Order: sequence, then C-alpha cells, then structure tokens
Amino acid sequence: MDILSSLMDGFGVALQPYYLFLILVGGILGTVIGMLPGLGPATGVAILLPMTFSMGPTASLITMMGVYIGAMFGGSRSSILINTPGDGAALAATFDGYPMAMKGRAESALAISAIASLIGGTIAAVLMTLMAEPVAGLAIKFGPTEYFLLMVAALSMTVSMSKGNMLKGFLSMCIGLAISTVGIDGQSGLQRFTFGVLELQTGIDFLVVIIGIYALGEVFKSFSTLGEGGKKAQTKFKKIWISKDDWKRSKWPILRSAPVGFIIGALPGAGGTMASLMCYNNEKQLSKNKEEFGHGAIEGLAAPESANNAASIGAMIPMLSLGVPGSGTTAVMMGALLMLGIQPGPLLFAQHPDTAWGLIASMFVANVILAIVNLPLAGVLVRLLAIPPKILYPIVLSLAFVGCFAISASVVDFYILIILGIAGVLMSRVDIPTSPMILAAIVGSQMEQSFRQGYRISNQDLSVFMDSGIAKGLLVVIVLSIVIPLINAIRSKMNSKSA
Amino acid sequence: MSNIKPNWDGLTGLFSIVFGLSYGGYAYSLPQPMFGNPLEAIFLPLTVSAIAILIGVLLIITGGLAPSIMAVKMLLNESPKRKSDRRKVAITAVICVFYALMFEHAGYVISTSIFMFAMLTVTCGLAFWKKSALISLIFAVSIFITFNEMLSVNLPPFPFFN
Repeated sequence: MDILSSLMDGFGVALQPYYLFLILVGGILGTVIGMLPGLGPATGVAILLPMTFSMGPTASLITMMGVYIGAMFGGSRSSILINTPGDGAALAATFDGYPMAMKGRAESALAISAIASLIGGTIAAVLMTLMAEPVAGLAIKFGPTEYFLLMVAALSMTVSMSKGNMLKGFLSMCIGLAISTVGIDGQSGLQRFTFGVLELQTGIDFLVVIIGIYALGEVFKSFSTLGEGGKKAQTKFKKIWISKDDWKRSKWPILRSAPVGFIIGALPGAGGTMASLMCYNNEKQLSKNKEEFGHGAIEGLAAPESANNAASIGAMIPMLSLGVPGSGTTAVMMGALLMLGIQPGPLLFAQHPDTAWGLIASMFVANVILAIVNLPLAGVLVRLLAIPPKILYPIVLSLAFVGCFAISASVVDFYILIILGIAGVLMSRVDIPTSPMILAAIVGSQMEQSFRQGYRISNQDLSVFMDSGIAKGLLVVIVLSIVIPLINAIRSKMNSKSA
Repeated sequence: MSNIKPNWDGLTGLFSIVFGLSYGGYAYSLPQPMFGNPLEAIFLPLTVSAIAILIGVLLIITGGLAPSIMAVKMLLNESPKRKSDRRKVAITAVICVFYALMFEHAGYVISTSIFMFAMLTVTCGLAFWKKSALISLIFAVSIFITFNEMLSVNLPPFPFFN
C-alpha cells in the first residue's frame, strides 16, 4: 500500500501540466536524436543536458526521462525504414523490421514497434515500482566496505560482458580508473595527475568522458559512412496500425520479452543491445515459424522492441536505488542529479520522495505520450531521416562542445573531449570495449574513497571486506562474474581446436 | 603463416604495459601527503598500474605480436577511401583544437560559425560554401540565444562587446 500511495504521489507530480510538457518536448527531441544513425539515448541525454540546467531536480530528471524513452522509441524508426539502427539496442529491429518495410508493411512495423515499446516499457515501470524501494531499503544497510564491493561487482560484471575479450575489458576499466584518479585527492589533499593544469585539480567530469566517447567518438566513426549517400527513407504512409493477426502473433513475444529485458537492463553493463538480441533469439527458438525470422516476422520485431524499452527502465534500478549507474544514459542522469546537489542512492526515496516517485511515475506517462507521438506522428518525425548526415554530424559535434562548456565552463575540457573522441575511435578499431572505461570513470573515485574509509574504520584490516553477509554475497558475484566467462571462453577455445 | 588472423591484441598488450608502467611510475613519484597513510593516495593508481601490466603481458602471450604486425600492414595498405576517412577524422580533430583555441577569445558566435563552416566544408565539400556559411551562422546565433537567454548558460559573448 505504501508503494501504491507513493506512486500516486508521483503521478501527482508527473501529471502536472508543466511536467507533461517537459516529457512531451524531451520525448520528441529524444525520438529525433534516437532516430539519427549512430546517436543513441546516451548521446541524446548528454547533448540535451544543458537544456535542464535552469530546471529543478525533478523537472530535470523528468525531462531526461522523456529524452531517454523518446530515444529508445526513435532508435528503431531508422532500423525499420533505412536498415540503419539509431543505436545498438535498435540493432535487432533491423532483422525483421526492415524486411517488413521492404515488403510494403512499414506501417505495421512502425506500429508494432511503438506498441511493443509501450507495453514493454509499462511492464518494466511496474516492476521498477515494486522493486526500487525494497532494493534501496537493502542498500541502506551498506557501509563503505559493501559500497566498495558493490562497485567492484558492477565493474567486474561490465568487464565480463566485453564480448570475446575480457582482457581488453579489463584494460578499458584500468583507463577509466586512471581517469577517475585525476585531480585533488579528497582524503589527503594530494594533487594527482594534474600535470600543473589548474583546471584538472577538480578532476575530469565523467559527463565529459561520456560526451567525448559517445558524441565525438560516434561522429568520428560515422565519417566512414558519410560518402555512401545513405538509403532514402519512406516518408508517406497509410494508417500506422496493426491487424488482428499481427497482434495475435506479437502479444506473447511482447509480454515474455519485457521482464527478461528489465532484468538484463538492471545488470550493470548489459543494457538494451544484449536484452533485445537475447529476446530476439529466444523468440526465434520458441517460434513455430523459425524460417520467417529475418524475412519480416512481426514477432521478430515485437520481442526486441519490448525488451529494449524494458531494459532502459531496468537500468534505472541500480542508479536510483544504489547510486551506481547501470548504463551510459543513467550515468549522465546521475551526473545531472549530482550537479543539482542530489545524491542518487538508497536515501533518495527518503530524502527526495517527490523526485524519486515523480521520476518513476514519469516512466509510465512518458511511455504513453511517446506511443501517442510515435503512432500518428511517425510519418512527420521520420522526415528528419531525409536530412543528410553530412549536415547533422557537424551540428552534433557543435552541440557536444556547447554541452561540455555548459557543464564546466572550461575550455580545457574541450581538449579532453577531443582526446576522448579520438580514443573512442581507436578503441573501437582495436576492439577495446568502452563501457568498462566509462563505468570506471564514473564510480572510480567513489570506489576508492569507500575502500579507504572501510580500510581506516577497520584499523587497516583487510578482512573487513569479507565480514558481513552482504559483502560475502558481493564477493561471490565478483568471483563468478569473472570465472564463468573465463571458463566459457576456455571451453569454446578447446571446442574450436578439437573441431 | 597463412593461418594467422590479423588482430590488435599484441599491440594492445604493449600499449597496456607502457600505460601501466608510466602511470604507475608517475603515481610512485607523487609527493607524499602531509597527513595519513602515505600509501593510501597512490594505492589505487599502483593497483591499476599492476593490473594494466598484467593484462598487457597476458594479451601478448595469448595474442602474440605477429597478428598485430599483420594488422598494421593491412592498415597501411587500406583502400584510398578508408585512408581518406581517417584523414577526415584527423582534419576534424585539428579543426576541433582550433575551435577550442578560438572559443573564449573570439566568442561563441564567431568561433562556432567558423567551426561549423569548416566542418561542413569537410563533410559537404567547398562547392556548397554558401549554404554551409548560412547554416553555420544561423546555427551559431540560434544556439547562442537559446543558451544565453532561455537556458541561462552564459556562453562567451562577442569580443569587445559586454
């Protein structure tokens, strides 16, 4: 009952006309950015972040939620119409969405994508409502040692999801941790790795890291496709809706994929790409019409669309309840909250119930608003796909710089942004995943401080990190997250050798 | 030799070792803090350095250097189009550096107009210079007004103009 009344209070906030307007504007902007090839929700939220600087914490978070969900809705538009995913999470939508459009069923594809996103997002918001406060309640029992281990667990899980090469994942994590150590050390006052640059004394803002890697890095990478001219998107549609048969085929895949997507989204580093690909494969296994997959099976579009929206909401759980971001986008949102003087984590629900519950309620509202926007207005919105990337990418670059300046008011961060943008391209070239680096840059400083606090409290006795039940549980998670992928990798190598 | 697939593991490993050594070395040479355990402030950097060196060694052992050398050779012999893409990235990075240098001195509108024009020239070519100039100016002015007036984010104004 407590949860229900808190949620009602949240709706009292989210349904105010001002917040509805912010969700609508944020949602439309997010949809537009999400549609642009290569630019995902993290880039969208990062470059639109300055828009929220003059707002209060609740308004700021609600706007970013609108942008986030909008970008998730928008990501699949370009997948369906031009076979180019807006971001990784929309990749699975190309498998059957584009073939549907090619067969003259673009209307059904756009409609099922929006409907699946709405249902997936709403189911995930219900799960979020039920789980956020209990998880936060558990997290209140966390001391510095548990926090340290929690962050190590988040890092090890992110590293273990580095496809194919855990070692490079660890290297990426090391670079991120090194970035987090730049600046004045909070406990000893020692200047570390500032190289005499005054502006580096306050450290490198992780938002700059995110904008550098996502916005500049993605634009740099996109130069390779600039000359190709791109595919022309269909911009004229009949009624965007689905038939009864389409719904019959899609409803169970949508309902099955939402909880799976939510759980995967809640795991640090996993995210929408993994959720949507996993649910696509699940549906393919379960389907009686396996041969239709890849040739325009509507359930092959419905399942990943439901999963990736659910995952985007699942990723909010670690950020809101534990204060540890689960994805790039939630990291930007966490940064925005910190800038506004609000610490996400277990105390958020007790100290700022309006913000926490307003945000959760806004997830429901944003899903409905975005579905409404994306169904009748899809034809209008996709016209933006006709704007050539040759013009869009310089605009994104420029917005990235102005966003960076709005965060720190320092031009020194421009140089860091450029270095990170180039680093993003190089890392992608040599297959080093960027997620561990970004997460490490975000949690590194807090992780170090927690370790040192725990170490001091215990009179420099390291066994304190194995004392409590929670600590032991987290240690098991850390060990398993490294050992299981390692065993799998060794097994697959042995299998490939014997084959 | 024909069974070797090119990859970057060996060179990445070398980078990891160099990174670990230089980062750890710099951390070790930092002055000691005035109070508290002198090692506390460099404990994380030294741990990161040790992990990076270990990862580097493992990458070289598992990947070997030969595939990396092949990857470098392939990179050098890439198609002219790919080389031109890399050149575009390099030119963009240089334009970005000039933008950073100009930003506070020339003010937001002037520096951004020049930056956008240069970027649009890189992506669209010089043939569309009139369009590029117009887009650049409209974009810079509209962002300046949006941020300064609507979002209360103070961007550097025009030089000699208060």
